This record gives sequence, C-alpha cells and structure tokens, in this order.
Amino acid sequence: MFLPRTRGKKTHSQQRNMSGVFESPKPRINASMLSQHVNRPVCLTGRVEKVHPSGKSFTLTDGEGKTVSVELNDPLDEELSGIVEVVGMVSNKGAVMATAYTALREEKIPFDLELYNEALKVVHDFPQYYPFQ
Amino acid sequence: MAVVLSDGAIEALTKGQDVNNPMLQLVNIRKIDGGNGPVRFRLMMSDGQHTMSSFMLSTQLNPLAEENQLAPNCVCMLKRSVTNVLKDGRRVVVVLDMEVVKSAEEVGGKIGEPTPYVEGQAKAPQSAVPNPSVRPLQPQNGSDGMAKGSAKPAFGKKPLVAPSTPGGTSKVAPIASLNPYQSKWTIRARVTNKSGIRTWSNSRGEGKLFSMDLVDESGEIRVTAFTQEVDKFYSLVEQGKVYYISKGSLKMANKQYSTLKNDYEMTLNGDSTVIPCDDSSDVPTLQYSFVPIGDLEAHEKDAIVDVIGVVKTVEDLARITTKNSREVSKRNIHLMDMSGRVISLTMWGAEAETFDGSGQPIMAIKGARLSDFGGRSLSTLFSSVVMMNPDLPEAYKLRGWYDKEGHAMDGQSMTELRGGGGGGGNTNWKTLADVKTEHLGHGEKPDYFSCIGTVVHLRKENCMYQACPSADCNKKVVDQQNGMYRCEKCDKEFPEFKYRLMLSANIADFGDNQWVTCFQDTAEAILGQNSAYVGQLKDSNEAAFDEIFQQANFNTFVLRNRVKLETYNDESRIKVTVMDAKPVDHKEYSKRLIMSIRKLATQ
Repeated sequence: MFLPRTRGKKTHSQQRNMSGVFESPKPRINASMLSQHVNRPVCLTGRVEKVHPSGKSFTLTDGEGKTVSVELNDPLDEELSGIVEVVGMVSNKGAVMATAYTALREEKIPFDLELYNEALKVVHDFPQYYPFQ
Repeated sequence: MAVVLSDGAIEALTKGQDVNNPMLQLVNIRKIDGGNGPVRFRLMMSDGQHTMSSFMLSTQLNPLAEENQLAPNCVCMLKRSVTNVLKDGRRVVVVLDMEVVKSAEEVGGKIGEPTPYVEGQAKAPQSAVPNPSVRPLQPQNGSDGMAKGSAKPAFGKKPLVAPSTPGGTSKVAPIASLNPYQSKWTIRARVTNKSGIRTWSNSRGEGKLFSMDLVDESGEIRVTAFTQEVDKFYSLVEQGKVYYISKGSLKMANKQYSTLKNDYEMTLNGDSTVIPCDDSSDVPTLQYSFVPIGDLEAHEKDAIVDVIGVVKTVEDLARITTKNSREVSKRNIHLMDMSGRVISLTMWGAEAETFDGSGQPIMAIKGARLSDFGGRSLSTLFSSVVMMNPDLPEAYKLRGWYDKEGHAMDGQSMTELRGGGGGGGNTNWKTLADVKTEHLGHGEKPDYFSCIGTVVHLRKENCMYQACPSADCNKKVVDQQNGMYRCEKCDKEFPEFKYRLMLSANIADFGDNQWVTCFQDTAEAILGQNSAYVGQLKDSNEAAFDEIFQQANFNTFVLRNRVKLETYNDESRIKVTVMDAKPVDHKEYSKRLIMSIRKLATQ
C-alpha cells in the first residue's frame, strides 16, 4: 500500500479494515455529520482533547466545538496532541473506528479549525461541484 | 430726530454694571483675524463722554459688520452685552445683541468730544461733578447736530441698574452665549454623550482625557476634561443627567473632531465645577432625526446622520493597523430598518470589542458618518452616541415590525460585499480571465487589480540592466568600453554600476495566464533574492543564476497590478506591471473564497 508522505505529516496506520477504508472515498466531515455516515469511511479533523489512559481511544473537538470519540485498534505508542486527522469507519454509536491518524504540525501557521469547518460545509452544501463520494 | 447717547454708559459697562439698552456711537471698527476661527470684530464705542475700544462683537453679529451696517459714526442700541475681566485685569464688553439705530450717513459725524475711558480716573470727576459734561454744544456737520447736554438727564445721573448678578453664579447662562471673553457663568445642561477615557503618550508626556456633549434649550457644546479633571469628574458625570457647570475655559472648536453646532468648545480646568441638578425635566434630551436606511443613498458622503435599525448580523472582531501604525479593533454590524434595506456599520475600539448583538437588538446611532465605501456604509465616530434598545417610539415600532415581518426578509444591502480581507478592504480582486473579459486597462486611466498568481515562466534574458549607481537615479548607464559607465541623466561617468531587475514573468491562475513586468522590488520578491546577488551570479556562476529562476517557478503570490493599454508603433497591447508581490496568506485567501462561493450561491 502506498501512502503519500507529505512534509510535516506523520501517518500512523492501524490494522483495521485497511483495504476497505483506503480504497474507498473518505468524505471529510465534522461531528454533526457523523450520523449520516454510519458504517461508512470518513475523514475527520479536530483538536485532541482527552486521551484515554488505555491509549486505545481519544476525543477530538471539531471546528464547531462538538466532540467526537475516536477508537483505535492498537494503543497509541506516542503522545498525541494538537490537530489530528483521522481516517476510519463510523460506528453505530457515532464513534470513529480509526484506521489511520495523522498529527498536523502547527509550528508556523496555526490550524484554523473554524475555517476548515466552513470549507467543509461548502463541500457538503454544493455536492454537484465536489463529487467525491 | 436727534439721537441721544447714553452718557456714562461706557463707565457702567466697563464696571460690569447693567445698563438698560444704552445708545452708543461707533467710533471705529476693526477686523481681527482669529487664526483658524471665524473673523471677529473689535469696536470702539463712544457714549459722547468716553470712548472705549474693548468692545467685541459676538460672531453671530458678524453680518452686521460684514454688510457694512456698522460703519464709523453710526449710533447703535446695545441690547445685550456681557462684561468680562481678563486675567490681566482688562475689561472686555462682548456685544451679544445690538441694533443700528441711525446709520453713519444719517449721523454724519462724531457726537461730542469723548475721551478715552481710563478706569479709576473717570470715577472721581463723575462723583464730584454731577454734570461732568461741560463741553459746549458741538455743531455737527449733519442735519441733527445734537445736544450733548440733553443726553445726561436721559441716563447719566440715573442710578445704574443694581448689579443683580455680577458674579453670575446664581444666574444660568444659555450655552449659546458662552464665549472665550467671559469667565463667570454657570450653565445648566444635559449630558447627551460621554466618551470613555482615552489615554495618550507622546514626547511631551502622557495623560488621559474624556469628553462629553452638553445640550440645553439654546444649543450644544463639546466639553473635554484632561488628566486631573478626568479623575475629578469622570465618575460624577452620567450620560442623560443634567448638571450645573461653571468656570470652564472656552476656545475655538476644532471642527475636525466635533460636529456639534457651536463655534466653541469647553475644557474643564482646576476651577471648574460640575454639580448635579435634580430638577431637569425642562432641559431637552438628545434629539434624533433618523434617516431611513433606504434614503442614505441620497445623502452626501461624509454626512453625519442619525440611524436606527435592527442588528441583523454581527461580524467578528477584526484588528487593523491604522496609517500611523496604531492597532485598533473594529467590528462590522449589519443594520436593517423598515425600508427593508441593510447597511453595514463599522464600530471601533472598545465599543467594537464589547459589542453584544445577541437577540438582534434595536440600535440607535446619533451622529454616525456616512461613507461611500463599498456603496454606502456607516462608521461611528468618537462623537457618536450609540444606544441599544433605546426608549423611543421609533424603536418600539421597529421592534414590532421586525418581529412580525422584518425577520423573514433578506434585506437588500446598501453596502457591497467586499472581497474579504487581504491587502486592505477595497482590493479589486480579479481572476486573470476577468482582466481580459472586462477589458481592464482600456480606459483613459490605468486600472488596478489584485490576483492570486503562480509563476509559470520567467524570462531570464535581459532581466537585468546596468543602472546608474547614484542613490536616487536608476537610469540605465552606457558602457563606455573603457571601464567607465555613463549616466545620461546625471551627466556623469562612474567606474561602477548597480544591477537592477526588470523581469518578465508569466503568471497563471486556474483560468488563464498573463505576461507581467516586475521591477526591482517585486522582482526580488518573486525571485527571493536581491538584485546585487543575482547580478553577481549572472556574471560569475551561470548554473547558480539559472537555479534561482528554476526555484522561483511555480511559487504562488498575491499580486497587485497596474494594467494599461499601451501603444508602440501603432500596435496596442495590454501591459501589466506588478506593483506589489506578497506571499499568499492562505487563511485570508480561504475566507475570501468561501465568501465568494456563498455569495455566488445566493445569486
């Protein structure tokens, strides 16, 4: 499997549904769109709030301040904070079962989650111009 | 009819005693240019016995002088005046109301032989000699040579009206009568606007100030308090309340900062007093004259208007840097009224920071400035009065209308949606295709536009030229082939030159591309190198020189450009010159794109 390694990104893949998630489109969503994407692969970006002591789950807040819980197959092997982009399947309970996650660096320019959320909404409001699904 | 001068009136006036409508003859009138203030007139008056030159005409009487009604020799009735004692003890009589009873032609000449009044001197003779005017009758040139003697019984001996309020503390003066030549007065006025405390700090020190606007039935005035007086009065003064105020200093109003209808403004000083007044029902309150938002188009730019509207939407707080590199907060608020039109109002500073538009309140603004920025927009001034949900019939009517039907209306905006931030508010954003389809640059004057452009090709050939090394001269020099370089403009030869850039670049966006010319600074920005270094490499290391151009390709910039149709040898072509090249601020750019998409979607 080829994963593009972009500058400033460090991607960690988890061994779950890997083939399925990576090969299908993963629409970018925010927390309030989770319910419309149950059992489908998604891409969700947010700020890490709490990491469970077990290291097997953490919570993200999105650009609207809503919280999403992210569950991992394998416990984290590093400290996780800041902006994280998660790719995974949405469970029935509305959690994201992560297949991979990427911490986005904010050294030079802070990541503007609200602005990202506005862009997300544009993508979803005008699907005719963003036929990615 | 013979005119009778009020003998003794000069002395009485000088002493600040009340004189009932004295008749005085004008001896001389002199115009005083008050610097930046209005012209004032100084009069020398005679009561037949004495002359006194310290009469000042109050400015509202200036037309009398300007229309030449006040010519030397005319006789006037002084209806209202105030005597002021200056700091050095001199007395000045300010003429507030005066009527010309007999014109200069009719009078024909000087009445009597008045002598200049000197304080203290006149006293003795007057008290000693009850009838001081022993001068013979002066036959006049005019028809009514008048009897000097007859003037006395009319006035001279009559006991002067009791000095009822010489100090003036008990009598309330109207704001309209205040002037710099008068120091003892008390006004009773309502505070219609009170500013926050502002501080300053400059080479001469630092301090703070606040200002307030006062109104009474006669007029309005701006009052400012500095440092110590801020401590003394700021907490005492409440907007909307009435106060007795006395002993402020008056000076010419600076119309740049105040739009009040008063030639003067007041500064509170160490002697000033501000006393709350409880019985205030008769003092007028703030008067609004609201202009419907839909009618604002008909008003001139920079007009000061009162507007009432519903706060429809509130934009986020923004920080901007002013021309004198001061950082201020601003916030745009969109107001709608029953005309169904919406206008953008910009608030500044602390008011912008603390603004709460939740619940779509009614907002009344007294004295906002109308601007033609982006169609029509409003801006609050330091002097503006902002009231949220004011207790006004207009506010209740508007509330009712908005809750019933207005909230469902979209509202047509008087303010053009701007292309978002990034390089100032009025940036003329265009795509490269727009530049061509809209024929920019084909007019008389050059057009300016900004775009996001990616460098797709740079012309290395002739991108540099050898320029005159003089500081302010960038003319091309001629190589004399003897180690010297000649500048025609400076008419000098130099042993060296400096390299300057004149770079042709092809830039592209998603829809089109365009050849542009970049001079020195913008070319350096695009190449990411300074011209001296590029020139050095050009002569010494061609590979490194080429590398610079390779590295510069496919970089994206925010470009501000000038475009003009230029004609060489009967051939016209569009010439685009880059005025400014900056790296892309992706946040600003994204915001602008989102805003443009949303705007397009509603069309």
